[in-house]
Amino acid sequence: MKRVRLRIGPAIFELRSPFRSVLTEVEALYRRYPQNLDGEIFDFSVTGLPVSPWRRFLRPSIMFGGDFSLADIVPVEKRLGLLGFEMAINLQMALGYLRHIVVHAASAAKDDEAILITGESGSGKSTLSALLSYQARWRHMGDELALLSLETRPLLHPYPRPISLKNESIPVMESRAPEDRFGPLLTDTVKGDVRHLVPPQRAIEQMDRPALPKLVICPHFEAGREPAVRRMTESECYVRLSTASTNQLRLGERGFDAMVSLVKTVPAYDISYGSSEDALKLVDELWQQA
Amino acid sequence: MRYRLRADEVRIEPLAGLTLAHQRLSGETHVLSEETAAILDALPERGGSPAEIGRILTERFEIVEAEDVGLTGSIESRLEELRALGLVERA
Repeated sequence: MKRVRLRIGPAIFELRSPFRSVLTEVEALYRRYPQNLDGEIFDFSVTGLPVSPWRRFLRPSIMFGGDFSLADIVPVEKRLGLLGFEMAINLQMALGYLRHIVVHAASAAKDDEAILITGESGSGKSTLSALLSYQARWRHMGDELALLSLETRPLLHPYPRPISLKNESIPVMESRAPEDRFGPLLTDTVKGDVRHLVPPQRAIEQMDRPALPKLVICPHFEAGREPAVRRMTESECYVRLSTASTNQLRLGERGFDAMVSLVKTVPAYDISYGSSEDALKLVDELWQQA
Repeated sequence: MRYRLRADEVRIEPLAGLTLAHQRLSGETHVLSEETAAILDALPERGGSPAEIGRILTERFEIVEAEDVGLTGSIESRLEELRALGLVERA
């Protein structure tokens, strides 16, 4: 059984699997992240085990699990093992992490102020997050899960795992980021084609540096659409962020207070656009106004 | 029937747009309509009947002929819903 430890923001994961080549792919993708974590205490264990003993060799198929799991998880072909580990890591954070409010959202910072980008899968959240991460002055904080501290004036903490690019967003970023920051192209996954993009080094080096939320946006990408902006009310923003949180209910009144404080102090907008250029322009304009 | 807010267990937080009611015991947050939030806001600390709350709302919002529009019955229905959710109790 091979073991690999990863640290992403405040959490350390121990990954275990007899499929050595899959964990070697994970190590390659995370080679620029903190190394030598053997002396550290890990927060979550994540396993990638054969569905049955003979399926380790014959049509290899991996069942992912860990400290936290869901009943309806299905096995993954070995060739998609990297994606399986990424999803299992996210699941640990979504279900088991309780030191911050976990929100299904991307985030990025400029100096010590942050933008929070929330939206359903397919809304353009990850693409916008990837575009921002390779813009000068922006610091990538996360493309999938945002961590909001349980304080009266909550801070966003980085969770800068590799950005999960899907389908059309892959060529968009291949033309903007260096080739050696990309993982392998994974085709025919449940979400179509997927390719991971390691954020710029400053995002990894500053993964312990929180930022004060300054702007919340909810993006909607639709090819060719004219750009449009709509201000969200505090209550709409609360409902969107609260329903996008995987653990706020478990954090009780402190979670409620932190979320209410965020929506009362940070302006929120629903934005629609049809191109990457329009998206970046809208974000820039709203950032200046906020 | 008189009702009062379960003040030790419920936090009311008005936001622009709607009002939130957070239940400390369950950790759940309920989103209240403007009408329901107004009823809770009018609820006297010692408790009040739907008719009393109706009188307070009639005055506060300058509603004419409260009984004609079925205000008391409507308030009682909302209070029973809030009681089922555990936000108010019978006084």
